[in-house]
Amino acid sequence: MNPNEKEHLDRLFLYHGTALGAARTTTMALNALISAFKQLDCGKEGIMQRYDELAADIRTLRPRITPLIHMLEQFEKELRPFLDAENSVLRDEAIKILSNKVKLYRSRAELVVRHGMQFIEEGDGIIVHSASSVVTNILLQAKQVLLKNFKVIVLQLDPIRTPQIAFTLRQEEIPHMVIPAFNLCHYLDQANKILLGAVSVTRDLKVVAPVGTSATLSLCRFNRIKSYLFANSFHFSHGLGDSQRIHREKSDVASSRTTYQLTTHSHDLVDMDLIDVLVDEEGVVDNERLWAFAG
Amino acid sequence: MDGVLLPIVVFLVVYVAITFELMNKAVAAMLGVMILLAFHVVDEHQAIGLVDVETIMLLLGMMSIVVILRKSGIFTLLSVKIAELTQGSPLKILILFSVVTATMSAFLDNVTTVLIIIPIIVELTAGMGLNPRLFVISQAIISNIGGTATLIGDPPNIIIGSKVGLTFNQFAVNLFLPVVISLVLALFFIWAVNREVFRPVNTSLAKLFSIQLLLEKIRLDFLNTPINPVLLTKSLICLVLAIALFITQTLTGLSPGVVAMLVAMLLFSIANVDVEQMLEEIEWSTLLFFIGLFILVGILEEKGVIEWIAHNVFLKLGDNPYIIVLTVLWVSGIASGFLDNIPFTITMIPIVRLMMETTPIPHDILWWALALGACFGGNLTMIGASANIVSVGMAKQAGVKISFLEFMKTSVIITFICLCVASAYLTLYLWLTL
Repeated sequence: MNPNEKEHLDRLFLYHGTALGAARTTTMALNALISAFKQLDCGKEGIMQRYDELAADIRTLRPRITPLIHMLEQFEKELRPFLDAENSVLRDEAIKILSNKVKLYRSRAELVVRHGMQFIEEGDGIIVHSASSVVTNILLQAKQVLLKNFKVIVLQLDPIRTPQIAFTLRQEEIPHMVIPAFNLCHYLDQANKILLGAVSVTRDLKVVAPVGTSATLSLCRFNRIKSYLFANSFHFSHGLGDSQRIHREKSDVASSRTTYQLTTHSHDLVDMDLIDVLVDEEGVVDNERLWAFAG
Repeated sequence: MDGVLLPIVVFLVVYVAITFELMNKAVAAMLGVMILLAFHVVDEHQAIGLVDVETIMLLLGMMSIVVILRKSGIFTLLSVKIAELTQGSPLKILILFSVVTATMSAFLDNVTTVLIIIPIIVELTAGMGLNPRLFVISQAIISNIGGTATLIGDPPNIIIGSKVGLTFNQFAVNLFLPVVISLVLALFFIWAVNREVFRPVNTSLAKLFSIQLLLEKIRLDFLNTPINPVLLTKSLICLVLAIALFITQTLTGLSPGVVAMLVAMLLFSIANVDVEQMLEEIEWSTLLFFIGLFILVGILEEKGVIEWIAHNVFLKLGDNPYIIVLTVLWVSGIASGFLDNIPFTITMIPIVRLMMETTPIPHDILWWALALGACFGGNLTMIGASANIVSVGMAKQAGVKISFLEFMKTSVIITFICLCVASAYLTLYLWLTL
């Protein structure tokens, strides 16, 4: 991939990460890879060479999509016995393994939802910041399966994700309101919980989360609103917080008086201390498990 | 020819203002009319009598139907589905989008077509690292070629059909073949001179992977408004009804203008939409532009100016039907590239009528020459047709700049090809009938 194509891939992932969240971006990327393998027209040696080049580019995305990287690691390991096989066998196996990875990721995400819905209680006021697919499903399941009544305060984030969650809540007749994140201080007395998803949880106990998460969590902590982070273990990164390659962009902003340079980060790096409860596919991650992960 | 100086001067000034976009087209035309009214060249009752109501009804009716159809989201859905079907293959992008653009342009107005197609094609091609300029230019050109096929496809045809009384079927039967041949040759030309661009992408895993992500982005960007199935069904039924009534015009005796307005009002009454909002989306300035031009040209006709031009320019060509037909075709083609083809067609209609009185040419071949010339000629330059201007403008909004010369590099040869196809077709047609 030339630098332009790499830059374009970065932008596509950044777009999907913002619009869909890390979970859906991961499954979407795996499905895209399946489709690419199906259409690829080249010899056996070429297949792995081309895959290695692409995988290297995916590993250096900004930010790193930890669950996708884990999936590719597993894929490569499981494909290894077939590297000497015929072209068609290699391709078929690659597609089969990737399909299984999609199923595996989804099943873990479902387990997180199953555990997560237990935390929704009657009469809750729930703040949702950048609703991930897991958080959205937790709210839906709590309403449909557990028949809980609660209210959701959606913090407006981006032009695609906010309408999606608003549409879903409206369809399911879950009482909700959408407010700008910077207006949250006016609604703190109506909330008792905040639910979050994340791109990655790092070994130094930092969370790569959508932009604005850090400020919102600080405000919640200050007002004793309990925070819940839902992330299956594929989101747990081997790396440290400062190696997550969070995208940083500088742009010129012109005003009537001057032009200044604006620097923006695509994601927040949040201290795990701001999270009260971390839930993965096995349930609540207690301190013992957390420290074991952190090493 | 008494008192002709002022109408001629006003007409020429309006023409220059329209061609060089010195002011809004509708304002230019209506200002010209108002000056002539103020100087008592005609009175307001005479002026309104010069307007071809049939054309205005057809335009207004079709614009109304299109506004509601667009609201249903069907065009965007169709474009996204086509983008998915291409799977990122540059050649498929060119062919599939061109087929859709040409078909849509044949039944809707060209500007509506490019308004829907261009944003998606820019997103798709730029996202794949292709040069979007080539695809934008090609779709603008194809929309003009596709619009040539039917009575309702392009404004010059609407004007010719309404003013001359030619039916939808006559247009379809007589123009379909040259349009299809021109379309195929235009696509072949685009492919032949840009073969590098159309290389398959299925040898690169990274490209195939990126394309899938890109298609998902297009889905998210363009399909964020849910389709309204009830509105969609009602709109499509009305569109089919309108086309059916156009086709059966000789049986029902309903003119295209009446059909379009009847179906449009029926759709407004059953669509359950905010009519005020829909009416705001109709291009009233285009309708005013047409009204103004009809009056300006009508005055010149009444004053004998058009007859003078016909006698002193076109009727000097002699009585060889081949020369007459080909001259009308090529003059229309070249003039429409530099002048707006709407006022040009309105001006040419009385001239062609006089030519037909002097040298009768069977089967309305002279009208087909005017239609093919005026529509194909719109492709000659960036300012030749509204679809070109809108396409280039939309591409610019998306950060893709297309210069006048860059547009012409592709468009001149394609226009030449189309006019050659039309010449061969009309010559053969004449040879078979004479």
